[in-house]
Amino acid sequence: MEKAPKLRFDRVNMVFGRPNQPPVQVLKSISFDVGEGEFVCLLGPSGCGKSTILNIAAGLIEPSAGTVTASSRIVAGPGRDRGVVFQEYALFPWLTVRENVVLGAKSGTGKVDRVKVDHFLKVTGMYEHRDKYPKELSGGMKQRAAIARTLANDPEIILMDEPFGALDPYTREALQDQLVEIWSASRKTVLFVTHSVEEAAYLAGAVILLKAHPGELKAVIKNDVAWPRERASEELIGIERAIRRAERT
Amino acid sequence: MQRGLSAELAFPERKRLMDLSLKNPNAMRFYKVCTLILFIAAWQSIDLINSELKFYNPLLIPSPFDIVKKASALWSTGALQKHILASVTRVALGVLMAFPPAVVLGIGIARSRTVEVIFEPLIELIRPIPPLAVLPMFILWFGIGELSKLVFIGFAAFYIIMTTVMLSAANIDVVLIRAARTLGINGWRFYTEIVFPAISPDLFVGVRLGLSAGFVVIVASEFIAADVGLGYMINYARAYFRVSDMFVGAFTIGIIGYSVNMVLVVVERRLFNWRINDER
Repeated sequence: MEKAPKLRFDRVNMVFGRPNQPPVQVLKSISFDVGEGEFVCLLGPSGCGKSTILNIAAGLIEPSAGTVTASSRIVAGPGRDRGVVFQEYALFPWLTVRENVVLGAKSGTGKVDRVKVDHFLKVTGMYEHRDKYPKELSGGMKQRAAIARTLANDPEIILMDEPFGALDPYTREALQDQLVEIWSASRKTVLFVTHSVEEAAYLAGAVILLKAHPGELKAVIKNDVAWPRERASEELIGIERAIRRAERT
Repeated sequence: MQRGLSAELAFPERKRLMDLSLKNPNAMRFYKVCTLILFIAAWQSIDLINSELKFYNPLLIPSPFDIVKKASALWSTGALQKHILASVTRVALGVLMAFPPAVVLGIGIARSRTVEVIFEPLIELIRPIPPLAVLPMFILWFGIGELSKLVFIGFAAFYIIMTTVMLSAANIDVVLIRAARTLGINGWRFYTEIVFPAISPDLFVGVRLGLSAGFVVIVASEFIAADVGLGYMINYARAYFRVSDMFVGAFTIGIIGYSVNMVLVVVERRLFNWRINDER
């Protein structure tokens, strides 16, 4: 028998009702699987509902129809097994970086593992900034701290909603590399939303391509390029080309 | 010329040292104090002129000097301190009483539909009633002792604190709420570790406003039934036509209110320096 996928979307529909206006269909029959330890990117133009998919997976919004299964359990609300990294960083501004990460670590057993907290602060390069408040940090540092917090919460699946979308290209690449390192060390399952073809081609093992109005699955492009990958290498450009070709059809 | 201009833009504090223009905040502060001194001086000189020309009854409007003299007399007998202590204690206790229900209900109404359905209609119905309108009832229910005054001040402060808390709790950044939910922070922890800290700066403002409301209404309750307090002192002075005492009482309330607010503003800046927009 085939091994059960870590995350499964089964014919998920999402219709948003609006007062005095016809309802909009945001997602139409979305089905896909993400296997354990896989890194999957959701790629598509704005309006294709990729953030909605992520929010449904996180359990933050309920789909109109269809089911989502995470670790063989039906998703019925937010849970610690699925950690989310938001584009807006979502750090608690009244806590220092360390306290934010501690909050993540505490959510599991209630006890705080100092070693674990320090480990994730170091992994994300935030150890020396651990006593700063979020307002003192740059966008890239904020996102690193948010990633450390999510990791400290020890989720099985990490859902990332355009986490590097608001960052400058250099910071963005640095964080991508850091993420790859963390991912290959932990082998967590990652679902990563982006609208950058390059980002998807560089990071993903599989790219799920969506089209907009309504959001529908268009194609799944496998990316078997071996790690470590090199940006702008022939192979990755080949993947980018395959994605763009699929987009056009 | 060009150089001078750019240096001035880059280092505005260079020029500030001897800057007496209205752009300099320190000069502004100095001018404000001058206005106050000028006002008092003008008042004193009108009184001086009046003592010769007698165009109004000096008993009705005493001079600043008379008021200060009266204040120090009242201070030396210990009467003024006694009244201040009584009024301040009442305001502090009244606001303290209002604090827990105001916070709990404010957060509850903002974040729970059940609590909203149960409490909001009643609270909104009572809100427009001026506290003074219920003071006679409070006196009947709680007697003429301390309790009726505390309940009265509490009533006035409750609405202010509750409203600030409610608005603040309803406007917590939805991303922070989502982050908390996905981190598995639920139930009691959600309220104590997320909602409460998130609203705490606004809550502090609410308490500050609640205290000022307390000082506004304390006088009225002390007019009606009290044997000590600044309101009592003012009302008692009216019976004996001691206008200077009335001025002392009124100014004392003003000074207390101003100082309490000043202290709290400083505490607020210290306490909540994590806020993003505290560059004022």
